[in-house]
Amino acid sequence: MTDERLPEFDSLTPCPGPPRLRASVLAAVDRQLAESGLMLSGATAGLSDPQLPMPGATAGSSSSVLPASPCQQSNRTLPSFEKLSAWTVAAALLVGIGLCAWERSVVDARLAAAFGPPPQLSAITELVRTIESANGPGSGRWLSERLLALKSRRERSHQPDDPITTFPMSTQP
Amino acid sequence: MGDLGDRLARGDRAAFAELYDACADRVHHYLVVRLGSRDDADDLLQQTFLRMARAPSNLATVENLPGYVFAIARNEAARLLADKSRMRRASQLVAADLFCEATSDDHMAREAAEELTAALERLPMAEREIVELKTSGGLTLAEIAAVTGTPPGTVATRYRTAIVRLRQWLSKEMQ
Repeated sequence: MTDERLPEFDSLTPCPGPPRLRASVLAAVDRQLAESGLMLSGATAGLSDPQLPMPGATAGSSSSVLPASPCQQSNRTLPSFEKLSAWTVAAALLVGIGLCAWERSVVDARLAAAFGPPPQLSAITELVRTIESANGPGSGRWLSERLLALKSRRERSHQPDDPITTFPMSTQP
Repeated sequence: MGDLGDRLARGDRAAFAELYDACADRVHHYLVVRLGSRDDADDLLQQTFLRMARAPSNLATVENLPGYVFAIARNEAARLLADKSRMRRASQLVAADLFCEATSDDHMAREAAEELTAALERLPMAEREIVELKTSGGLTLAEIAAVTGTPPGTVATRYRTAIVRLRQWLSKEMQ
């Protein structure tokens, strides 16, 4: 059914391309292959052929055979849709990560401004004081920073403990 | 085709000449129907072969080389038709550009060529393209689906619809 043809098509002969077009196209192909350094031996016949004008072509009109049309030139420079999409997704991801980090720092700064710095444990304060008295204020500050960093890392990685199981033994009746 | 593809991939000029002889006339006719201009068709046929010569290594793995040539020509035509003035011109067909009989002394044959050209001109571009690829291009419906990127069922439906329309228009002309 779908393969049926109209008899009118069979009774008419489609016009072929102009005979001179063959030489012109193959000469252009030769030049392109030579530019790419790909042409095999024995394939140089058309290299010195002059550019053949197309029948009906006028100088400077869009129907001249060479130079290549602007469409083809723009093809070379324009990135493909897939590449463009990939770059867009990558850029969006980077922007997202950057925004996330920025938002976190802003929130931390607001919390610090509203509630002050995180409270220090009295045990840490005592230990720092002992170290300061023995080794000087520099060592005390260093130890304080290290301990606070450790504490915040533990808080981030651990789930909140069950208050019953972690209740100190000494306080049980 | 595999051997021809390998030779093309190696940059063999004779292989390009062979491919040209195998399908250039059909592709040229398709381009005339698509663009409505023999001069533009000449240009784009050359662009099509230049495109293949620019990256011949791609041709080694092509299974259906004529279909591949049609697909490149179609893409080139689509780029050219992005210009609206060209698109308007493309909808007008000239019988003498399409069928040899349009310039013959045989009055009946000349009339038949003109009537068929006028009927083709009335078809929507998508249907006209499919009819052209099937009749003058000699492609199967599956190949047309691959070339145009359209589902095979849609191609078959459009072809059938176009043939019915053409038959109606041509029978009216006969009366």
